[in-house]
Amino acid sequence: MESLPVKPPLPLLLLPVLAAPLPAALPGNIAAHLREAACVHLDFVQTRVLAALSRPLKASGSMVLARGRGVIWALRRPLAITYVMGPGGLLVVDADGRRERKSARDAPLVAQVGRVFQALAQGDWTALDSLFTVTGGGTPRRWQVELLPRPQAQSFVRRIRLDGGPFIDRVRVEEPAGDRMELTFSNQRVDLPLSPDEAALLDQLPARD
Amino acid sequence: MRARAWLWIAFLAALAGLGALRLHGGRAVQTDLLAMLPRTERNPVAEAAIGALAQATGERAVFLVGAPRGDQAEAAALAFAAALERSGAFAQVTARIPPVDPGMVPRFYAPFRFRLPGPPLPAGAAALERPLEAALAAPPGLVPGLDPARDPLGELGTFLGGLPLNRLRVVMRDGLLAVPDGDGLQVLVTAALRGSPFDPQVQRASLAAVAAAGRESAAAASGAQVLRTGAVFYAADARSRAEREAGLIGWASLGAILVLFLGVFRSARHLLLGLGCVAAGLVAGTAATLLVFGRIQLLTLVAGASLVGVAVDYPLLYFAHHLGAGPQWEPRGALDRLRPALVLGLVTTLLGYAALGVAPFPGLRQMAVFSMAGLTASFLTVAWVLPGALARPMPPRPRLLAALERTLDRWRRQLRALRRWGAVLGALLILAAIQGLRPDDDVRNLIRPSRSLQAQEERIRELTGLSNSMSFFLVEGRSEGEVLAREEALRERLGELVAQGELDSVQAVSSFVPSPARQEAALEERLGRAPALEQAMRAVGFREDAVAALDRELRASAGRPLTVADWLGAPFSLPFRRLWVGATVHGAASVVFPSGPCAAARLAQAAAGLEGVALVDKAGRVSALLGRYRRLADLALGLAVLLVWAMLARWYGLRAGTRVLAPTLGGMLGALGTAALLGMPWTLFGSIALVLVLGFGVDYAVFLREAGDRPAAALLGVLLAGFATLLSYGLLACSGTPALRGFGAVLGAGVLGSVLLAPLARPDPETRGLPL
Repeated sequence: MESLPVKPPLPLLLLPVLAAPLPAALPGNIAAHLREAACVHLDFVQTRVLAALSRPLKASGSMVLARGRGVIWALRRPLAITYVMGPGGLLVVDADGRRERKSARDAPLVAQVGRVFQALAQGDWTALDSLFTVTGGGTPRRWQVELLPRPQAQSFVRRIRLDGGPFIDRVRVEEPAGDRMELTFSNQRVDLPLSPDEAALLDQLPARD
Repeated sequence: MRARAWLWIAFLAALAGLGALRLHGGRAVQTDLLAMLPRTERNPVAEAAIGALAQATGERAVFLVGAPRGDQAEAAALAFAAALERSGAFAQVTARIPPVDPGMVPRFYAPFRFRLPGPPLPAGAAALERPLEAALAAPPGLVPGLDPARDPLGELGTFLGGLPLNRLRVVMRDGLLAVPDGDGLQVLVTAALRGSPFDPQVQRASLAAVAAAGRESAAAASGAQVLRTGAVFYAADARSRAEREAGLIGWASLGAILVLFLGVFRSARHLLLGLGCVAAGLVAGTAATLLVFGRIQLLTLVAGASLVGVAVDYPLLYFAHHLGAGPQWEPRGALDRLRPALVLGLVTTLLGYAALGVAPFPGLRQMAVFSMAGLTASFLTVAWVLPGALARPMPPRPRLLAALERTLDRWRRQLRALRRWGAVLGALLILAAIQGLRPDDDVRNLIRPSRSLQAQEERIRELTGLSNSMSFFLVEGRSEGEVLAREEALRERLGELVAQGELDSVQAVSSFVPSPARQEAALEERLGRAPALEQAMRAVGFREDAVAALDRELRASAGRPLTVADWLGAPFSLPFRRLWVGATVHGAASVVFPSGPCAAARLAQAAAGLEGVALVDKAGRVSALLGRYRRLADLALGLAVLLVWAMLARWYGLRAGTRVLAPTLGGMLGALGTAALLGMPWTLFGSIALVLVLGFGVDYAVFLREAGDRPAAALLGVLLAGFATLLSYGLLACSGTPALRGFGAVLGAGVLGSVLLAPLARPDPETRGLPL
C-alpha cells in the first residue's frame, strides 16, 4: 500500500499550555507565571505552507486558556469560527451562531485531546514522551524547546520547535513532505478575567463523564 | 452371606475404582457455571456466540497494579509482570505496550475515504469554499486525518473522530497502560491463560503464579496492591469453596452418624454397615452421573454430599428393628416385614427426585440422577447385604425401648390435645407464607462469587471502563452486507437511548465498516459533488496538480469497497474482533454490545420489530427460565400432594390416610412459614425442597404407621433417619451459595416438622389393630 502522509491526532494546540515542569535540560521556572495563571488571553496567527497550496494560508484570531476549564480558540480570519475545547469534549460555534457539541463520550479521540490537555496542564509530560524526545535550552528570558519524533511518529512530523521568553511566543511544526505550520502568539495578558461571553462558552462544554 | 451380596459388593467396588480413576486430577469436575445453566436460546447461532464470547473473555486475566505514587506503581507492575512471565503459568503476559503509531488508523481508512459517510455539506462551488477554508484554518491536531490536499474538507478526520476506538479510560504512560487513581496510579497488566479457566491444573498454576507475583510487586514497591479479575479466579474460588463445603458437610454428617451409631447401637458392625450403605450410595451416584453426563458438576458434588444423610435412612430403619426385636431377631423375616414401608418410602422419594430431573436444567438433572442412583444403591445394599451380615440378635435394650414407647405415647397424646392450637398455628403459618414469601428467580442466587472478587472486578471496571457484560444483540443476515445494514438500523434505534443517557455507548462492527449500501451512497455523493469541490479548491488556492490527484483517487476508489475482512486484518481491530461472529448456518452474524445502565427490557423494546436482530441476555433468560420452573415445580408439588393423598386414602381409607399425610403437610407449612419469617427469597430450590419434604415426611409417617406392635423400633428408626437428614440438609443451609442455603433451610425445617408431627400418623390406642 502506498504510504500516505497523515496528520497526527496530536493536540499541538495545547502546547502553549505546557508551562510547567519542562524537562530538566531547561532552566527552571520558565513561564512559571503562566503555570500559575488562572487565565491567559492572547492573539495568534497561524501560517500554513502546503505544497498543495499555491500560497501560504494565514489564519488569525484570539485564544483564551482557562486553567482547569478549557481553551477557546476564536478564529477571526479568513472566517469566524470558535472552537471551545475541554476535558469533556468540544463545542464549535460558526459565524451564524450555529453550535455543534461533541462530548468526549461520542468522540473518544476528542476525549483523548482533552485528556492530554489535562495532563499537560498539570505539567505531565509523559503524554508526549511516548511520541517525542524533548530537548531544550536557554534562559528564562529566551528559551527554546525542540521535540523530535520517536520512530512511530516520524511519518507525520519531522520536528516541532517552540520558543519564547516570559511567554511561549512561537510553535513551528515541520512535516516530512515539507509542509510547515507556524503559530505565533502575541498580546499575552495574564489574569485578565474571563469575560461573561467567554465564561458562557466554557459553561456550554459537554460535562466530563 | 449370599452370592448376590458379594456380587453387589464387587460391582460397587468396580464402580468406585472406575469413578476414582475418572475423577483423579479433578478434570471431570466441572466448574464452568455456564455449563450448569440451561440452554436458553432456540437459535444455535446465539448459543454459539455466547459460548465463543465466554471463551474469549474467559481465557484472559486482567490485573491492575496500583501504588500511591506513579513511579512506584510502574515499578510494581513491571515486577509483577516479570514474575508472571517467569512462572510460565501463562501463555502470554502483557504489560508494556509497543509504541502505538498514531497514523495507523488514518492510513488504514485513507484508501476508502470516499466511501465513508461524511457530514452534510452545502451544494455549489461557492458554498463549499467556506468549509474548505474552515478545514484549513482549524486548530491543528484537533482530529487526526490526512493532509489537506488528500482530504480538503477534513471528512476523514470527522469519521475517525467518531470511531468508538478508545472507550477505555486508560492512558499510555512510559509504555504502560495506566489509569490515574487519585494521587496514585493503576497500571494495567493482562495475561492469557494456558488453557481453559475451568481446568484445575490451569487454575492451580495461575493462582500460584499470581500469588508469587503479588509478593514480588509488593517487594518492588511498598504499598503496591494488585486487583484481579477473570473467569479463572471465579472458577477456582467456586471450586475450592464447593470442595470445602462438600468436605465439611460430608465429614460433619459422617461424624454425627458415627456418634449416633456408637451411642445407640453400641456396635462397630452396625457403624461399618451403615457407612457401607452410604458409600454405596455415593459411589453409585457419582458413577451414574459420570456415565450419563460424562462430567460431574460442582453443585452436584455439594448436594451429593448431603445424600450421606439420606442414604443412611434405610439401614437405620433396619438397624432400629434389629435393636427392637431383641432375641427374636430373624434377619430375613424383618426385611420382609419392612419391605412395604421401605419400598413405599423409596418410591415416593424417587418420585420427588424424578420431578427434579424433568426440568431441562443440567445442574438439576445431575442432582436428580445422582440422588436416585445413590438412594437405590443404598436400598439394594440394605436388601441384599444387611440380612446376611446381621444374622445374630442384638443384646436386648428393654429400658431404651420402653422409654421410647412411653415417649411415643405421650407425644402422640400431646399432639392430639394440641390439635386445635395446631390448626390455628397452621392458619397463621399460611398467612405468614402468603404475606412474607417473595419469589426471586435471579440467576445470581445460583452463582454467588466471592465478595472480594466481585469488589475487585467492580473496581477494575470503574477505573478502566472494561466491561464484561453478557447481554448483547445478535444481528443476523444472509450476507455480510445485510448484517451490517441491520446493525446500522439497530444503532440508529440505540442512538436514541444514548442521547437520553440510558446507554453509554454501543460497540458494533458497522461503526468501523459501513454497510455496502451506505458506502455506495457516500461514493455517489462524492462523485456528484466532485466538479463543485474542484472549482472551490481552485478558488481557495489549491494547485491544479493537487486537484487532479484527488480526482484520480476518487475515481479509483469506485471499485474497492471496504470489507469486514479488510478491517479484521488491521491491527487496531484486535480489541473489537469478537464483535464479528462471521459465517453461520444462516449466512453471517455479528454481535452489538450496548454498555450502560439500560435494563434488558428497554433494550429489547428498542430493537423490537428489527429484522434479524435479537437481544441475547443470558442472565435474564436463565432467571426467567428459573421462574418458569419454579411455577412448574409449585404446580407439580400441588399435584404430588393430591396424588400421595389419593394413594394413602386408597391404602388406609380416607380418614387414616389423611392422618398419615397430615404430619408431612404440617412440616411443609412449617417450612414455608420459616422461609417467610426469615425473609428468605422463594426460589425454585425452595419448591424442590418441598417436593422432597413430601417424600421424606410420608416415609416417616408410613414407617410409624406400619410398625404394628413394634412402635418403639419404628420411632427409633424415624428419629435417627430424621436426625441424619436434618443434619445433612441443615448443614447445607450453611452453604455460601444462596440457592443451596435456601434449599437446606426449607428442607431442614420441613423434615423437622414432619418428624415432630409424625406420631399423629399412629392409629389411636383404642382402635389399634382395627382397620379404619
